[in-house]
Amino acid sequence: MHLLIIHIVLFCSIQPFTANFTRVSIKRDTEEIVKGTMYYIAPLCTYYEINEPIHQMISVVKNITTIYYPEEKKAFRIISTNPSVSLFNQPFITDDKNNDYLKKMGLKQKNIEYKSDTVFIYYVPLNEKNSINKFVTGKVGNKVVYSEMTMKDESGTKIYLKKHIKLNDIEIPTEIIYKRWSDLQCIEERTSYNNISPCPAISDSLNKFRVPKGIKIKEIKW
Amino acid sequence: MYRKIICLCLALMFLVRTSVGQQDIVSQARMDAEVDAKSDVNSMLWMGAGCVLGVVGILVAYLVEPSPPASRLMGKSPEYVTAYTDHYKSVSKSEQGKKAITGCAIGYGLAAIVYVIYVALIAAAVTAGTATTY
Repeated sequence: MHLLIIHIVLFCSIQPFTANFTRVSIKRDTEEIVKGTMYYIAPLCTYYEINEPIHQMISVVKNITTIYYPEEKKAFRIISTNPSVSLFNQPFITDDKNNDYLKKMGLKQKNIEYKSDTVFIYYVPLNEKNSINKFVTGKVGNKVVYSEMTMKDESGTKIYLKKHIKLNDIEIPTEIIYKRWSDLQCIEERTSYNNISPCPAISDSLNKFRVPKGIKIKEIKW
Repeated sequence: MYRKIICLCLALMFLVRTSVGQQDIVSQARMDAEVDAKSDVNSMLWMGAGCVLGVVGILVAYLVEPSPPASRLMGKSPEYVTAYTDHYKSVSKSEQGKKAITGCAIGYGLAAIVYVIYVALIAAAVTAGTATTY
């Protein structure tokens, strides 16, 4: 939910682009590294070509995620009940439109604090039924650099956004640190992006994400 | 003759090693799915559902299928994806069901306590009324 809250509004104003990425995940003292190329098309429509540690072609369109393994000739289609947010769990945050969106998610602004050059905005749920306990964003000028969500069961997530660059007049972070904790585990993911470039004629590159005919797709309903 | 035996032994070793490797992947996937599923289940939500909705809440808990982020499958092999998705679904449903059952038990327990207190109050009121008659 944290991702959905700050994901959709931001992407609405970003034009299609591509970027290379490296993601380092640390979970239960195990480190995993994933490298590839991302093709962002529209909100809730992103494609990923993973090169390391395994070759995968992943398309995420609304609530359907398709994973295709070209070498193994295998494919999966995962149908979720909710829209699939960025596969990185790390959105790009841009402007103040998120206030309206947060209201729709049942949150209201409580107070504002100033620490050095960062403005922290605190949100609380509108009613007691909301499972969110607290939501915080931190901004430096127009750039959102921090976001935190804690739930009533004391689990939560923190997102740090760093090294912003300008793309289509929008500040996009090129380094994102995502931390998630619960009573069972703690996860940290560090993702860095480079070679970010607008790509208006991106549709030609997307043919390679189509699962070829003749390959059986295993459908999973979530 | 010896060459054939050596080739056969090497082939068997390769098969065993591959099988053990795949078993490791499946075990890892199932372990990840178990922890993720237990972390993802909203305990408060399902306990509340069981408490408020009773048996209906329990049924809903076993029917509703959870939706974890597909990002967890990035960089994973097809064998991992298969094992993870199958195990995640079953563990999540089980966890949801357990929380709902706990909530339902709490709900019925509270209702029983309230009922006992209510009956006791009425009995006390009736007794007091009877005593003052005389």
